[in-house]
Amino acid sequence: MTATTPPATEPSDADKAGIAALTQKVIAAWAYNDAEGFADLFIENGTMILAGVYKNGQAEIREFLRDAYQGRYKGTQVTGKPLSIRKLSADAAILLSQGGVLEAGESEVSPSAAIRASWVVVRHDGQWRLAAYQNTPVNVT
Amino acid sequence: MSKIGTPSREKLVRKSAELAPLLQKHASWAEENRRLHDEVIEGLADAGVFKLRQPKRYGGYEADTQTLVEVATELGRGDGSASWVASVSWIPGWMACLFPDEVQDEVFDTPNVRVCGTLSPSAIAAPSDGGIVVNGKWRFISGAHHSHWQEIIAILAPPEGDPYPVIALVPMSDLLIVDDWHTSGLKGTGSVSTVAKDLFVPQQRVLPLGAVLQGEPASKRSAESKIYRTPLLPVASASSVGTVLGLGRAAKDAFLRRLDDRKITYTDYESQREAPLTHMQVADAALKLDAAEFHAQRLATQVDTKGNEGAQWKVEERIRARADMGAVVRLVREAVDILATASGGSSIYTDVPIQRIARDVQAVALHALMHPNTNTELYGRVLCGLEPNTQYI
Repeated sequence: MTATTPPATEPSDADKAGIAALTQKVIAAWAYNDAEGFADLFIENGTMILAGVYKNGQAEIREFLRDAYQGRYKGTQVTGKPLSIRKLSADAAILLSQGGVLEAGESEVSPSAAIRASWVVVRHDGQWRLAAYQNTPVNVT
Repeated sequence: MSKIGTPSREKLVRKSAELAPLLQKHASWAEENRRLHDEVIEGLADAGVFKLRQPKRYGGYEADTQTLVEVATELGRGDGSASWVASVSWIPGWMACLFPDEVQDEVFDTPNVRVCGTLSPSAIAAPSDGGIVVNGKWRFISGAHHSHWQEIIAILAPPEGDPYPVIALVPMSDLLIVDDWHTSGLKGTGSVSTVAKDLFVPQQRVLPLGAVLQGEPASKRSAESKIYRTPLLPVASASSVGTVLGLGRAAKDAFLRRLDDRKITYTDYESQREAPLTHMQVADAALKLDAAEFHAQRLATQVDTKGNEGAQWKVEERIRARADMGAVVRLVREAVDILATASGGSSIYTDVPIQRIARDVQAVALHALMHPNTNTELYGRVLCGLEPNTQYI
């Protein structure tokens, strides 16, 4: 049996797809300016750390995005692609991604907006969800 | 052989040619507004353009690809963006005909139904009760503004086994349009992005992409038709080349129309028509357009002949179809470049069509499946005895 069990660091293709799907779900929720949908990608006590931002729990994340979609993030899109996916245990993994916010009229992320992100993800009831998200600028200014 | 009620190829081509003034009239508007004018869509519908590849049982014409080449050539003479949207509609529209009959009943219930789509698997799907749930975003969705359905592609991750690409049909009302079409070419096509968020698609509207690439209809009635049993890429290639030929003709028409009024500034040539340089340029461009036409004809003839015979496609034949498409694009781009180069500084004003034609041809030539370099390399690779390095054949 051990021969067919994937090593702890290399997820199965199905897990990879399920975890990578979170990047697609973020892109879609953002395009719809759907603060509810975005927050629902997190577990109840999930956390989000951005430059100058720390939100603790689904409710804070939801409220932050609801305001941001009316203000700072109005008219923007996000884009992102997985850099790597590592399983930590059967139901926990780390996804690293690269992407960023696209301002209206932008088709590529500008150097100043480019970020790399760490996503700590857990499987709850068969669904991969975010426990913690943090990003950091790619370029030092 | 045309059935009663199905217009002849000659009539369809003539009606498309008659649209040229309408297409030309709205070409600048389309560029400014980054989408086709509603009157252009109505004109295309009235000329039967959207029915060409639709099943006869729903009032369509099931036209062969020779007809597509000739119709798109006429449309492309009018406006590249309008022609591109028409050509693209023939591809996802044809893919819709591979779905089960009950799905087609729903899609083709709308007269002149328009299906937009993509070949990019830039979304992820998960199995759900009775279907799949899709999240993702697709770029370059030509004609989205005026479509009723979109053909989408997503990677489906089943609970057991390997993920694989699926193709699905969804009503446009289920998708969000992101108006991000700010481009330098084919500006009038409105090739915006679309987004699916937790979108449920019932199982009957989902097929494995492999079956569609191979041209294997899930519909029993489509499997009996000559036009729905061909691999996708040769069909898509033959559906696309007419627009390119049309752009080439448009460039030649536009150049010759200005010839009388143009001198060659700061030289003694009072008329460009008198300069041997012009003779060389016009003949070079014309011969390249003739050669492009040869490749388009060879491509369409092969697709139609094999469809009629129900013959299998060898790998080399599929790849030659892509090579023919690439050759059309390369030759037309070269011809347009010669003519645009000979058109003088006055041709950069936005009301002079050749500058738009040159930008449109450049945009076509950069399309991942139409790029002449990619297609030529693929053809050469197989001629040298290697396996193709793409599943898009």
